[in-house]
Amino acid sequence: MITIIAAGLLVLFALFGTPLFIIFGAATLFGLHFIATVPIASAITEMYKLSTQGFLIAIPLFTFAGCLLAESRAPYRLVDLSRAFFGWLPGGLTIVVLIACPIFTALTGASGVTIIALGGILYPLLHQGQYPEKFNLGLITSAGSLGVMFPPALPLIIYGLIAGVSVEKLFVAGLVPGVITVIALGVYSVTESLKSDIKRDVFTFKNAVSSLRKAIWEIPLPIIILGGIFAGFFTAAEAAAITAFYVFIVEVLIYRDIKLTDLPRITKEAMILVGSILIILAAALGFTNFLVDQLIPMKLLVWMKQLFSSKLAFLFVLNIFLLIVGSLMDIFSAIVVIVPLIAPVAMSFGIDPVHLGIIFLTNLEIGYLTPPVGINLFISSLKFSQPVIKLYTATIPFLILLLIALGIITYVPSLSLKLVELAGVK
Amino acid sequence: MVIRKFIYQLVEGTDRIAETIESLFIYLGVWVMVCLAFIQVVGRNLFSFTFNWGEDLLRILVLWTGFVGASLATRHSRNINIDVLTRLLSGIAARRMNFIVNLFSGIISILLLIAAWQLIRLERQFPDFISSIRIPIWSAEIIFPVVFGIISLRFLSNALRILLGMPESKPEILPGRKK
Repeated sequence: MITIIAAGLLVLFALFGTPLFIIFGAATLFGLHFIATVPIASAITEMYKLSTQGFLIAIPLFTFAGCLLAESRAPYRLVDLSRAFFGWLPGGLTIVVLIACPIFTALTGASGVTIIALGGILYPLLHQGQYPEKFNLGLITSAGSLGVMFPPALPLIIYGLIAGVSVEKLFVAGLVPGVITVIALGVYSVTESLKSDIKRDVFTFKNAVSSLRKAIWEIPLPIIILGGIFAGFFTAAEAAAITAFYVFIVEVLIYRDIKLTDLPRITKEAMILVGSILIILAAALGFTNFLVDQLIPMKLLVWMKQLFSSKLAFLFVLNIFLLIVGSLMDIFSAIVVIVPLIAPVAMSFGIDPVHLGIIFLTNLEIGYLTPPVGINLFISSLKFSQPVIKLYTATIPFLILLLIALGIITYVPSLSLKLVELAGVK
Repeated sequence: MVIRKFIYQLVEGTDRIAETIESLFIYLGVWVMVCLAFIQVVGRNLFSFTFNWGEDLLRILVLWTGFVGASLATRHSRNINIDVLTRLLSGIAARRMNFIVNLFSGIISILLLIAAWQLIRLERQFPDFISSIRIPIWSAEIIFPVVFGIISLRFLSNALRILLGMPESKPEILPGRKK
């Protein structure tokens, strides 16, 4: 009885904005002291264990690199480059949006800055290109949610850490599903822009070469991250070490976009982000350990097995559940809270943990856009000074397409797993 | 009124000093981390050479800078939370709830501090060593009581501010991404 009251109170505290690490910490302390009746010091032992995870270092290093990129003029160079190469196509500017946003999201760790950082550049461009306003709003809000499945987005790393799955495999597994979501929105955007008479950019060789030259130092980045892992040269943690060092040299010493005097502020900004994630991970590990000791995942498994007769039914309910979770919680806490409970159940239904990761992330990224409370709807509403209701209607066609893509990604596991197998990533 | 102002300045001043020290630590820590991680990768892949203490030092640095970052996240109210119901509250109800949340968070942080302290006492009795750098594990774990201590003070001082109707803490504003 007392456990139920305590759990109810903690949920209430969580919903009223108590930091999640406090909620996990409180739950662990309560469980250890009152239920397991062991010293509460073991909560901290689990926190320390977090530091023994070899690829934990990838989180601060990629985040640091992402913050440097976001503060530099890299977003402008990225937009110029994709515009020079794709702007002349029908619906060219929409393709630019759909290429630049996911790349930027992945590189900055999916911390919700894409709509703010790139929206300010892309929205006026679309407006100049005479695309309808409502369409522009829908496109930028949806495109700003994509990219969570491309390396080195932090959600991939965090999922790997929590589920005990190879981050390198996840990096590769997310590629095809990620591209599918981009193509789904791309086909729609191009068809829409063909309907209205929109002027296109003219392709000039000079322009292409000039934008290529400007971004020449940043173009190797995806090759370093992906190439190194694909070829088996290095692990995700090693890729992070090289990326952080390389981005520093390029943005601070070569482009000089970032002044040396700005570095302390940017470093602090990066570590505040890392710290807020890390402390949740640490506290959640303690809680998960307690749950496992109490055989909770096993009990949940038995219950779920009775509830769902087939894998398909389970996946369907999982999708709905995760869409709701994704619209209520931010992606990091959602992974930390839900994965330890659901992963054993999913595995018992024969779902590959790597595929499960991709299903999770696709759902959670769509959750960003799901009315009434998807966070990106609010970010866009603030950024572009538009009522949230208008964003609900503007994003609906995009949302429907993403849901179709989600169905395909969920029910065709080979889209996630085949490339991992072909590349032989371990 | 004078007492209120004094309390506010005392709390805010102490917090500001703590923030300066934490920021300095993070800055140095991250730079050592970035450079050392790079040297280790290049060394391992090109010259088959690494510092044998490198990996352990990096792990400790991630833990320490990360936890200090978390402490700063508390200072800047940047902790990750769910916050669905707070939007429904306004005015005095929101203020009351904010007080309760800060007080509760402060108490839990103190309990975590006690747990961390107990762990360190236990480990000091039977010390285990991080072999490559020959330091006892408890000295790496010392970051937990330190950070939970600072965090609990921050939550409790927030609660006190709300209770006394003082303005909220105004940390040096981190300018948002400019572009």
